[in-house]
Amino acid sequence: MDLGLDVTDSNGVSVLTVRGEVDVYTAPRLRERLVELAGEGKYRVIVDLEQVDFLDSTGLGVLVGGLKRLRTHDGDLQLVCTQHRILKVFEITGLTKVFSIFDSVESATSAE
Amino acid sequence: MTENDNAVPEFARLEVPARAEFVSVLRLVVGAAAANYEWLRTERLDDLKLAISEACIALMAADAVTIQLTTYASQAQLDVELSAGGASAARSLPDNALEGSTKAFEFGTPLVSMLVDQVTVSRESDTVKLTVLRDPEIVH
Repeated sequence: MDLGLDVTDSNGVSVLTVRGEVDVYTAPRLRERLVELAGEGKYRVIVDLEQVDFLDSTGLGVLVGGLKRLRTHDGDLQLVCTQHRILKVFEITGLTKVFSIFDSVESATSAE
Repeated sequence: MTENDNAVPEFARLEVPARAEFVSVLRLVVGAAAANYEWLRTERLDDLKLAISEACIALMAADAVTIQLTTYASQAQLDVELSAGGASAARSLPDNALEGSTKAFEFGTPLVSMLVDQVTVSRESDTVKLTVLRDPEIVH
């Protein structure tokens, strides 16, 4: 199973683009990448989920953990997602109230 | 009701080690089992696959050594049974197996119950059964 993780910079904000399936097997790699970003002092992170095919509760846990970690440094973790099947997971678990979710990286960065 | 409604359900079984890297394999098997049933729309199949992942997380948290997946697919419903195997090393599925008893499963509780039509947890056989009905309005 393939999980793609690419980081780019957009106006001083780190954009982490995630591709593939985020599940109990691959979620630790996402966690490691988020921890690395925080360790590099990058406390403003946008996680782009547009190319994610599958997301389970371990993936949600990683994103929540990343959000907590960044907020302790006065940072933030925002999400980009328009896919219904992925958004549904956030809605069912009530996490739409926890995360700021945008329909594009541009709209997320402009909301900074 | 069609002639096929009374057909014998198609049956598939696969046993894999209870390790994270095999969960995606189980999702693939269920996708294949559902392929011939048009009533199982893509969205409901996606939901079922997610419920399977959450159930596997619960079984792994219960120290299962293997996970056996069995599907029974028909024109009326699709049942997916996930059983913890490995006997001696596996401890019983806890009463609250699907109630967020582990950190990894923190968000799993509302997910499983909302993703499929029926969820049955058997402690005796350490089995989680997930059912998707063709017509959820009909009580079976």
